[in-house]
Amino acid sequence: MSILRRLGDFRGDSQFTTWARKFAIVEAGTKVRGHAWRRREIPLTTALWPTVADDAPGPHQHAEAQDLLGALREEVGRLTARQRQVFVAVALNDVPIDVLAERLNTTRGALYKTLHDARHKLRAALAARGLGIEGGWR
Amino acid sequence: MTGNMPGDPRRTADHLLGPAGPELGCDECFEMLGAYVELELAGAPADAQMPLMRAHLAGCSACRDDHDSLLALLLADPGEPA
Repeated sequence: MSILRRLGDFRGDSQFTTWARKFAIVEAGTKVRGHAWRRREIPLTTALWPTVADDAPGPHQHAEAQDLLGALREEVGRLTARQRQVFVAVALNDVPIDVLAERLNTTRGALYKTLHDARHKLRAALAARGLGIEGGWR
Repeated sequence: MTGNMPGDPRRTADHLLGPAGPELGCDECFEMLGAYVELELAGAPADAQMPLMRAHLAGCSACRDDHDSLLALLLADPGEPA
């Protein structure tokens, strides 16, 4: 059992039972997510890109939403191939990051770093276009 | 995050783009998860003591699921007394 190999890592910053249960929870979660995706293809395209709903408060907001989506889609196209692959799968298509890590033979931590870098680049690019996204409808 | 964008696209974009500021990585999150959940259960200001953890949980659905599961387990069975 993997926890027995990690006993030396216990630093006492939580109770031992909490520390031990954490391993069980994460291992179980990884197995459940893997099982749910075991026969599913990982979506790596932007074919299911979200569209603007009809419930925008008004024509101005509807146009603004389309501008934002269009700009974001363009900027996703400027990511590196690896960043785009991870962003599209995890952020856009809700593939669990540990499922993608297993398929790509890498680690969850390494993929999250790639996702973080992609998100940072996209935020900066949108801000440069005057499309900062903090806050709700203006 | 596919399908129609809900009424406010900025919130949807915010979800796609994750936390704006610094955050932990998955490995650091795993290391600190037990202590963070124990602080939450004790009613202590977990986010003030581990400010980058909440940002990571907002941006990583797998770590958020693991956090929620551990919190639910410890709520149901607190284990050894502190």
